[in-house]
Amino acid sequence: MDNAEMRQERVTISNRLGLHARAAALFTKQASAFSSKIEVIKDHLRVNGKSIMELLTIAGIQGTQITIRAEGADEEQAVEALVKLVKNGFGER
Amino acid sequence: MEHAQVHILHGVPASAGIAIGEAVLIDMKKIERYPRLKIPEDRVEDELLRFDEAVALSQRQIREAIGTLESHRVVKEHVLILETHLLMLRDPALVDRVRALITSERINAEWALKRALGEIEEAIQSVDDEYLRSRVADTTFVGERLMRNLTGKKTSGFHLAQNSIVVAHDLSPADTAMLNKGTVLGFATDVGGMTSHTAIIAHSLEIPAVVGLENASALVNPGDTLILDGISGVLIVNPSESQIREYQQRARSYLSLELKLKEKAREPAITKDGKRIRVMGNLEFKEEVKTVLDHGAEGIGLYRTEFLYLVRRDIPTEEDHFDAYRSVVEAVSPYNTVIRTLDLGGDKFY
Repeated sequence: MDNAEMRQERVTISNRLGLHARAAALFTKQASAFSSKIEVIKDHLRVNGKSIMELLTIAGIQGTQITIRAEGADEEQAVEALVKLVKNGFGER
Repeated sequence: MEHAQVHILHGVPASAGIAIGEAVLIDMKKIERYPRLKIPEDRVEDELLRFDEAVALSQRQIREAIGTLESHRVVKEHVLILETHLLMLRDPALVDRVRALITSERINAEWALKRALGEIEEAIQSVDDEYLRSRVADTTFVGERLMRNLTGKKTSGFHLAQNSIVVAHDLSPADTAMLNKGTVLGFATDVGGMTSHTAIIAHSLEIPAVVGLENASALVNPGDTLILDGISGVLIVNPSESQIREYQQRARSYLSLELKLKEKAREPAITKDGKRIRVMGNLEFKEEVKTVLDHGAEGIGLYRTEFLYLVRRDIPTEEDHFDAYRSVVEAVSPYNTVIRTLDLGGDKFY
């Protein structure tokens, strides 16, 4: 399943409120701009990065480590942009 | 015909003014009474189409609400909440799941929607964090709108008759914003306080509102005559002729008093012995600047910025503070604004 044709990176959720509705909305919007399939993985949970409702179910509180995985034509740019968004605390800090 | 029983309910005055009109109920609980049907295979396509149309209609309604809010320059936070709702309406976890349930289980769209929502809400409820868990409210608002559009209950803002007073258990920001000022005279809700969405939006739209009425939506029937007093926080159901006359009189005096005061307010405040006094207004929301200046204020005596915290679900950033302060200071200029940075006690929540 995890073939060579994909990019992934681990990142820690740094903003105080975690992956709440507005942060998840920003993530979804950003993810939907890419054609690649995008997944967010936390422990045994794996959700669609383009689904705000699924993102809300992973309990992304501050300090949670998640893996952002993209597979497709623009996987490189997608992972880079999404990791940056999470690292910047969704512009909140 | 016997005369319907008069009820006088007391709540929290959320937006000033008096309205006399006909009750329109937006009943959120109707979502619990939806048809559950097995459908034959040749109906699946129709059912999918019906669901897609309800999604499209919901998106149009929310976009319209965003437009209304933006044109009234209401708190940015409400627009962001509505944009989140739009994203949810495009969410594969909801839309694709409902379509899959209709196709594979051969059930009607309402039933499939209820099941898909149930799965999502259960998953969010299992999250071990109070703040994130409270996000279920957003999925509920989106689900209710979809269900109402599916079941064809035309209660969403644009189909209201003239002189309507909207009564509801609670109103989402989208519902409140869609209440067209031309046809809706006021609104009354069971829940809510001074800082609820309903209160803030009503205030910005200058529509009278009473919130926190506890059981108004249960007591009021569609078509009942209502008197809504947003000044003292009273809702009178099925008023007598004399009560109507009394409140018509009060509404007229309120309006003419407002007008007279507004005219007078433009004149400079000078005491009999010739001393010039500056009259300023206090602010809780930057959206109130226009009203304060319209009423003749020469500056802001106290801008209570803690209300930035009370109308949103997350903590405002330094940038949010800066933007709010700047828009107030710029609008009030050349007069002065006194900004109080923070007084966030428990009293502010009620």
